[in-house]
Amino acid sequence: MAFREVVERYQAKVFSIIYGILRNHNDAEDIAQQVFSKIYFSIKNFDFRSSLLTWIYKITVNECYDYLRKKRVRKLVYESDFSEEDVQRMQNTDVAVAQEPAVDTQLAQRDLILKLLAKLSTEDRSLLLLKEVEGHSVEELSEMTGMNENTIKVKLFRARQKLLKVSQRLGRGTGHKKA
Amino acid sequence: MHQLIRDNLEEYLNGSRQNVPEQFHAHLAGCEGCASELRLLQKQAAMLGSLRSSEEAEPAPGFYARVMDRIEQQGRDCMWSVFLEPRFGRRLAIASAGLVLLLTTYLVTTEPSARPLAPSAVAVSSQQPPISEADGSLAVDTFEQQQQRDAVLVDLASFRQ
Repeated sequence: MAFREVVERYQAKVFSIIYGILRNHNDAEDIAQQVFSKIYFSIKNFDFRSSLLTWIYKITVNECYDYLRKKRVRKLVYESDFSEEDVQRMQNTDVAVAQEPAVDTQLAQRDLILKLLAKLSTEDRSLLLLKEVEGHSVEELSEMTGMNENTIKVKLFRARQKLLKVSQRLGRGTGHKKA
Repeated sequence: MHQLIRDNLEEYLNGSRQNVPEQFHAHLAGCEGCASELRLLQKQAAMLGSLRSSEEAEPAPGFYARVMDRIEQQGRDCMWSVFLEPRFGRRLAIASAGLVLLLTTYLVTTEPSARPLAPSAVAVSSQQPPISEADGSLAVDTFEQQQQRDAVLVDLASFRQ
């Protein structure tokens, strides 16, 4: 497949992944360019064990996280970046999810989940996002990654557990009791 | 979390509860540990869902050309960045250290020849003191000795007169 075809076929997907994480069109253009540039230079490393989309997805999410880390757009990644508000948000998620949250609450929630996801490995993060954000089923993920369904289930479960642990540690670390 | 819940977790979180066996719900009703953990995981899934983009994001026209420009730019940068790569830098450092070692060894082993060079054959022959015909030993006359000898010869000549 010619490189132009790859770009044309996946550009919309890459844009929507980036936009889903960053919610900023200008950043999306810059990161999307970087993603395709990375694909161009590292296509020789693609081992065909997973689908091209999965590989591109992983690169895209990583680029978003690199971008956030570098620019500190949302003071991401480190636990010390979790503010007191983050902790309270974490503990009040029930309310926020149950009642259609306000725009700023939605933004804050997205910000928090991005911070939590930063604590996971690239693979765990991609799997969770592919499942929960992109809406792929376990069966589809199995086809996309070349892993069997049970392995996908186990990996997803572990990723979810890790995410829970991070949020629980966050609650403890700042002296709050977990609800 | 018990295995029964783990095995059906993804189907349950998908919302496809009809695919979840009856035992799943029966277990949840009796196991508070699993039920509370499941509630947390549901919250978590909802939070992850907030990353879903409802808006269609499309690049502005000419995206491919802009990508190719960036690739060209980065390709040029890559040519020079090879010198900054840790692996290349390490190799360069090792090669430099080897070269320094070689030069040092050469200088140390060739130090004796750094003394004044041996005179050439012509110079040697011109500076070679004459060999005395009587005993074959080397005549070691200095300039002063020659002057003395000349003076003695002058004395002898004047004595005959």
